[in-house]
Amino acid sequence: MRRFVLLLFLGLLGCCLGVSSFGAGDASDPGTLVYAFREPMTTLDPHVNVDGTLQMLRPCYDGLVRYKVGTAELEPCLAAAWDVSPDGLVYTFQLRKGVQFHDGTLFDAEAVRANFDRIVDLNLGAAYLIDGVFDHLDVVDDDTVRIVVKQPSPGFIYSLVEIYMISPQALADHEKDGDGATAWFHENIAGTGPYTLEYWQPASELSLMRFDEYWEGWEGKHLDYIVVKNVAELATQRMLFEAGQLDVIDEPQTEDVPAYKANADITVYDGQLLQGWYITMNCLRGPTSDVRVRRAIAYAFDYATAVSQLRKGLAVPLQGPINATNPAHNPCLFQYSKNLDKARDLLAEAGYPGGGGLELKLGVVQNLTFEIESGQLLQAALAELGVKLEVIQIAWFTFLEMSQDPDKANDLAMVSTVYASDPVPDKHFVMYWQTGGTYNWSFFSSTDAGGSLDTILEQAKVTIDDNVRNALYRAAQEIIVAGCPAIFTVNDFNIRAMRSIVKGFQFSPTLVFYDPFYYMYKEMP
Amino acid sequence: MPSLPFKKKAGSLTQFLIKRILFLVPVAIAVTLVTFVITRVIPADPAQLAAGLRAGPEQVEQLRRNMGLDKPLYVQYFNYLKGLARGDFGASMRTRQPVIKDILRYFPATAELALITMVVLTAVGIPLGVLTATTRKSVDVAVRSFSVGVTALPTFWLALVFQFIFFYRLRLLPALGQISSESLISAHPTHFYLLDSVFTGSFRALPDVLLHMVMPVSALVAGRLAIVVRMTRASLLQELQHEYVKTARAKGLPEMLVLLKHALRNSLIPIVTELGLHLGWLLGGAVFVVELIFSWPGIGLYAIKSILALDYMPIMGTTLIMTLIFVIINLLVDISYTFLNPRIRY
Repeated sequence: MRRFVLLLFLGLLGCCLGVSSFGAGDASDPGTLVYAFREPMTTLDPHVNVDGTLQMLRPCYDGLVRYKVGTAELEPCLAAAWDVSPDGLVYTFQLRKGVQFHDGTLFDAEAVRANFDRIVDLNLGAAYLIDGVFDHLDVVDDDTVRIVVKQPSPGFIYSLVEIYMISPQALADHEKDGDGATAWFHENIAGTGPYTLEYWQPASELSLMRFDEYWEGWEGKHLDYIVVKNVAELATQRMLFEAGQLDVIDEPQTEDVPAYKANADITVYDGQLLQGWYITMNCLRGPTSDVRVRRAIAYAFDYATAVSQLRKGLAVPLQGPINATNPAHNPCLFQYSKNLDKARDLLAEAGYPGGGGLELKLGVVQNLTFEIESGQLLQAALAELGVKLEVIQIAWFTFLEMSQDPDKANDLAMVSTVYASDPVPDKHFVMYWQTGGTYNWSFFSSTDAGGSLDTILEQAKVTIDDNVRNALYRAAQEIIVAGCPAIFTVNDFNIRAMRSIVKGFQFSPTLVFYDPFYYMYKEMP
Repeated sequence: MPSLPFKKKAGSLTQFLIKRILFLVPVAIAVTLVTFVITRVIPADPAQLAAGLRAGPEQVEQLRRNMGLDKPLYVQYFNYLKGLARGDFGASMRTRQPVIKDILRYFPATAELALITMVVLTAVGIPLGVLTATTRKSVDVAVRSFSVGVTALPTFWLALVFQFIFFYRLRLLPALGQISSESLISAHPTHFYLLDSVFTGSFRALPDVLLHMVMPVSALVAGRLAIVVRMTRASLLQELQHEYVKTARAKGLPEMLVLLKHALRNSLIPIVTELGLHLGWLLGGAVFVVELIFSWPGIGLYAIKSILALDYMPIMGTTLIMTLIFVIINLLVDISYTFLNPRIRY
């Protein structure tokens, strides 16, 4: 009887202290990296996800090619080698052998086909990467695929970095009512990357654990777990970080950075160029359709204060539409600086002496502090010129809808850039500078310099030769800056704040939010 | 139990219930119609938002067709109602997953927080109210000042201060979430973490879940404490004036019995009404701020994210559910009157 009671007691104790079925620890565990992320994951499906949370799936999935860590160069990934036909229309990939998916099945040519079929059929998320370019895919043999594109497209191979391969076996096993297994992949992971899903608590936590059979192996120092915590409130985030319960903060607030830099236990990485910010000016309607008015406004903006005060020195002035580190960037572009005398003269020339009662409206995204403050900065300078600027805060989806229509758009609108660091910046130019682009809020067109801007951009998009293409993009930038369709304000730095025990981090110059988790580790004191 | 002619009461209560439940239908239709109109008159292109800003025009158009957004508005609304009748709340644009699945996952976290808040609010507020009504003036003033003081503080501020003191300084309580990763529960039959930890035998999780509730619940309780205390005090003081109280005292009944069994019970009606409204207030949005600060994975965070992305179906679904719950809580409050005061009949 006494033995029975003892056993019962031990059993109950075991229940109470039972070892958790999950292995991820907290930030005090040397094998676990706790990563603070502001947005909760919307979906784990890499072919459906269209928002910033996709970056947290990157440790789990591979593409055929990838960027070499810390560079803008491509290197083999699931494809061991590839070549492109001279006309730029056919890509042949030799696939890596012996790569396992997380479910234990092998990666092969049929898997590549199944993935492209799924992306095309779903036509969601990742489809934008190949939309209008991808024609078809042939399986040559088990280890070779051939992809045919509709027209030469130098950006295509770079797009493949983000075409992630999911397990065709999981796809077949979990397909339900022709849903392409979207319900299953919404909350499960089956890729070939170094990490796989341990658990996901939507809206609060995602835990990834190391996949032992990862094709690159686990020699050297690596992490065992990556725990992504969603911390919506920034004050709470800072408190947790300073208390040592978070290892990494993705995009810390600029005002917190000086305190982090002063803290010996924290390392701040910055300097890498992230997004640029434009204040676009409506070139089709209203007073800003006059280039002299646009140039006057560009001279009124206080670039230096925007960098030093609004961005606390964590930015540089933006030179033209794309980042200065981009190989297609034109370093000879004219760069505006604040000069109210010139602005005054230009306004007078345009028929607005002493401001001439000019009233303008600037649209900014509701509650986005940097946009509002940039608007106020411009407002103060324009007031000195006798021009009244009204800064209007608008919910972003309405702002987007308004800004795409020259008749509904405000005179000015603030927008940040994407793809401005891509080595082939075709997506950037299509979105911001080609007619009909989602963010082409200036509605700028030009027939200067031997052809319209649209024609030059179309030509650049299909030019395979790097030098020729970059020359075309440089010419396009000249035309854009000469027409002054936007104030090119600042170019933010990419920032990560980490506990100093976290090692192996490097920024990716291209996929700006890709953190090289496989190469990261913690070195406990 | 009140000694009532049971049959009569049951009959009328049933009729009352049927009437009130039928009333839910026009309420639901009105709410969906208003939400539908409001979300659709906002100038925005939902197909483009769903496809992502980088999507090409063809991708956007196909998505528009798939989502039925190319149809006239009245057809879209009618289709939505048809879906609702089958229990289909539509799918989120962002995740392509059924809204009902998300609601079933996130709502329990909110409900659990709100219900525990109600329990604590009742357990603290009513005794404090009784105390202020029956004690010395100085204690009365002190308790009332305290409760008014904490209620006057904005909830979000109080939540942040709690975090600073109890997490950052004292390291007594966890700063966020519902549970620590070390105590995660292996299965979630109900998504109510307290229940799940019991059902799955995860007794280690139980104290962890409770600890995670301390700060959010305290912040929410503080936000309504003064109202419950004052309401109880006022209601009880009024009740104590009545002749039956004097009679009871004259009969020599112990004061506690007079106070708690006779006077307090009769003064409960306005208090229960108030508590019912509190629960509606909590579920209808008050917990949202607290969810944001404590990263509590509830329906509030879900609703906020959906609104910011103009994700129609989750916005409509959460609004509808919140409204129905508010109406149902009021119904339950009305029913509770019959138990508190047998003279009330329906």
